[in-house]
Amino acid sequence: MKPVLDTRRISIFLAITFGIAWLTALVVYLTGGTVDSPVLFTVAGTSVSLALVLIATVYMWSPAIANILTRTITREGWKDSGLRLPLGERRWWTWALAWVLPAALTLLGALLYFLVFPQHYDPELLGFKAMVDAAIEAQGQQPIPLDIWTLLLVQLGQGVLLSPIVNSLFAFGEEFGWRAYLQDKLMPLGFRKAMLLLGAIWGVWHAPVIAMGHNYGFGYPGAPWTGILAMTWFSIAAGVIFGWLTLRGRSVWPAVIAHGAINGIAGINVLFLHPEAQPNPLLGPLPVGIIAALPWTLLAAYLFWRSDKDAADVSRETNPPPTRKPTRGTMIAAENLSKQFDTVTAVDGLDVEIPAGEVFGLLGPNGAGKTTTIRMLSALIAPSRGHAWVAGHHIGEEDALIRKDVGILTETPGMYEQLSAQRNLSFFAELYEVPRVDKQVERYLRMLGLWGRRNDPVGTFSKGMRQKLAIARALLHEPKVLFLDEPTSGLDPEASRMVREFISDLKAEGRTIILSTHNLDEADRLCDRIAVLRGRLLALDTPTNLRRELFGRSVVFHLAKAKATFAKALARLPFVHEVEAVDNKLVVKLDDPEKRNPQLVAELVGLGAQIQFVGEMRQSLEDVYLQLVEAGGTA
Amino acid sequence: MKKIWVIIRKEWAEVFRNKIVLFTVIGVPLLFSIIPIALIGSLQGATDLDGLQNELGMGLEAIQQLCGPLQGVDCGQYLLLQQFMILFLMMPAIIPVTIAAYSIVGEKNTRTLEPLLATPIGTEQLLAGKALAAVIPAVLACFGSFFIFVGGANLLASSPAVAAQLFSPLWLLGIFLVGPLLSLTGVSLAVMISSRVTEPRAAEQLTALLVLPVTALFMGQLFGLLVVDQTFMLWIAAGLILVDATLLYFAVQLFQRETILTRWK
Repeated sequence: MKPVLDTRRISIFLAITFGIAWLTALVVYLTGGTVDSPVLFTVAGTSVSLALVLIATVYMWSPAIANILTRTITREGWKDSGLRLPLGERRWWTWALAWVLPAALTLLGALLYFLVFPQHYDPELLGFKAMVDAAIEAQGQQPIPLDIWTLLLVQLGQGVLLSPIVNSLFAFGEEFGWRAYLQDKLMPLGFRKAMLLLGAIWGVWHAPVIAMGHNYGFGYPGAPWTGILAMTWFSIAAGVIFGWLTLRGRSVWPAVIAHGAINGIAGINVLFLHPEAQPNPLLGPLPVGIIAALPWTLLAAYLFWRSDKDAADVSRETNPPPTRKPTRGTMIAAENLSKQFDTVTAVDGLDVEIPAGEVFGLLGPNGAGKTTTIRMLSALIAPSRGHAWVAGHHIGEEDALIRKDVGILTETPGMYEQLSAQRNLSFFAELYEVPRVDKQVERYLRMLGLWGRRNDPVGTFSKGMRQKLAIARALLHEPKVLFLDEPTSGLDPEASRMVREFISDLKAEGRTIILSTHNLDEADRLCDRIAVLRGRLLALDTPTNLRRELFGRSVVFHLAKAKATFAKALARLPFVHEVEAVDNKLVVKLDDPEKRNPQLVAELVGLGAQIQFVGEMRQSLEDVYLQLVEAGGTA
Repeated sequence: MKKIWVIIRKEWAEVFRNKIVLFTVIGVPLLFSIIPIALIGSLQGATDLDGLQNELGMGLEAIQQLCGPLQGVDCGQYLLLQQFMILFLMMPAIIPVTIAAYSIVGEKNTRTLEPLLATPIGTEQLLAGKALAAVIPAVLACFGSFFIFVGGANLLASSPAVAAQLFSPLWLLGIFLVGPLLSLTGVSLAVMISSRVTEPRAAEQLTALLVLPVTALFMGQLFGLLVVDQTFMLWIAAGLILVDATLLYFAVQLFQRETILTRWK
């Protein structure tokens, strides 16, 4: 079963990101676009325009702002922020790759471009030389005593080594939104679909700035649509690589570094361009051109191809494989089974083994995770972590088989009210592929005393009758495991007793039953073992053992007349833990009443006590439950 | 396939007990087929081709292309009937929306979705069953009303040739290709919306917006802005195939069992 795609948060995130970015683009457009934008100030001879400031800050930071706002608005919290630095986890190679890969791919792209268009290549670097001279002249400095190739090497070294860090500030604005948030949210689609979708979204997000000349200028064929398409193509390729770095690095930082690196190195290819060359920017030499982007595309395709292995590796690391297989005769086994809903941990690390034929009780207050546990074990919802097997099938891998082997009585016995009882049951029997539908439906309707009302619409049934019908529905396909979620909830005493008796009959047939209930008396009477839950497992044992563990064993002596001396005398005995006198009764707490009772009786008789009755004191399951839940709540 | 059929039968058993649905499936098509026939009956022999030509703003060439071999009054009557084709396109888009909206949100309201999802049925099977349960009656109702319409036209039009012209490729494409495709569009939209809202009426109202583009076609044709001919129908069909494929994909993607189970209260 696939994890859930959180479409609500994805929609909010995208609305904010695109809203901020495209509104900023509108402001840039209305104030002269990228060409005629008003100059705000000049730094080292370079004019800084309003367009540059708005695009480099608000536009490029819109995904990060959207991440923060979406988490705040939807109260998501920061548990999976993607910002962790996985130091000490031996992931240095992802950081190294992030640092050098963009430069290597960009230079390879340049090589490819100039192989295809050799006439555009300038071996004397005249264009670069002119650029350097112009910069020196603008700043009124002396010419640099280095030849142009040495200068290029310095530029390249700076681009490779420093730019990933320097440009990270701007790259973070994008990566903290796209990779740290949206990628994580799209992963339920699987790595491949998530990367394609994210890349396409990322590319389209660039559309307004591409239309205003960013990366491709204006005069290219089919402008601006072909530019937007080319940018989307590059975004998908780069997105796969950045996404893979995020996945393998368990952090957004490698993607930030890589994005900073490409921003810093992208312009290097232009330095090799002949001053008279008129390249088509859709093809190169910038890495956003189709030919220059070929190394990016090929690497992305390779990562795309091997993504199954990467996803499996990551899945193994975040959810380690089970340490053991369920033993023979086990009907249900769970290991570290957990379920997280947003910031709420509904079930936390449940470990349990339930043998075939056992009636297993799930107790706990509202919101303790009982229904979530039942839904996970019946393959209705996917666990966030951990493993479980039901009737020999692994949850998450054999869900359809599990659904065939389990019957479930849901919290509310939903029935098609306008259809007859018989039609309701035959519909479900057909879905479960029951061999002889009519016979099986008749069998259960008769067994539950509903045969006489088989043709009546279920809407006319009482609550008890509906509950009986829902139980029949859960049993129609003779499941190996039966989940009963509060089967007597809201029923009158008579109907409750009928349902309980029916469960007892099922128990006698040797069926494995998981019973979630608030009715402690019901659990006490029906269940072989009981698990008390409050998010995590608080206790698990037979009802008798739970009592003994919590309260110890006590013997009650009913006396004709109690005296203070009796209690004092018994308290002095070495095997007695505590004696309490209540009216004419003495409650004696001790470990081994079967062995010690004769001694106690002899002692009391010796003191002149007249014993009327002797019996073991039985704590109610309610006392046990309340003690466990209160202790669990304060733990 | 067997499970899809099981779902379809259950849906029909359930939704056709709902009087609103029943009226939509039987009453609306009847109404849509009777109105044009009644109009032809009341205008018997009085259809003025020149008047229609002016009113529709169509050139003689376009009219002759539409009328085929029909001349004079026959052509005038056919042109009048032709205006009602849009109703036959609206029908398959409207009818399944009501059924589909009730079928998904209905499960939500009766709390039957959890036991249903607990059975070994795939999401695609479930949605296919629900979609077909809505599309089949709508398409059949559309076909049925078309045949009533043709029968009525045969009886009341100035000549049997008018009714025969209703079997032209243009009409056949509209009724037997575009109609079912529109029906699928309506259902896919209804399924998508139903998975997200909690009231059948909300799903119905939102999906009813689908009628707007069809109405725009109708108005466009009425005011002579466009001529709905054979080529136009084929383009619409091609577009609808693309739209339907996309919508069906998203309908399956948006129907997330876990979200529906844990967030529907």
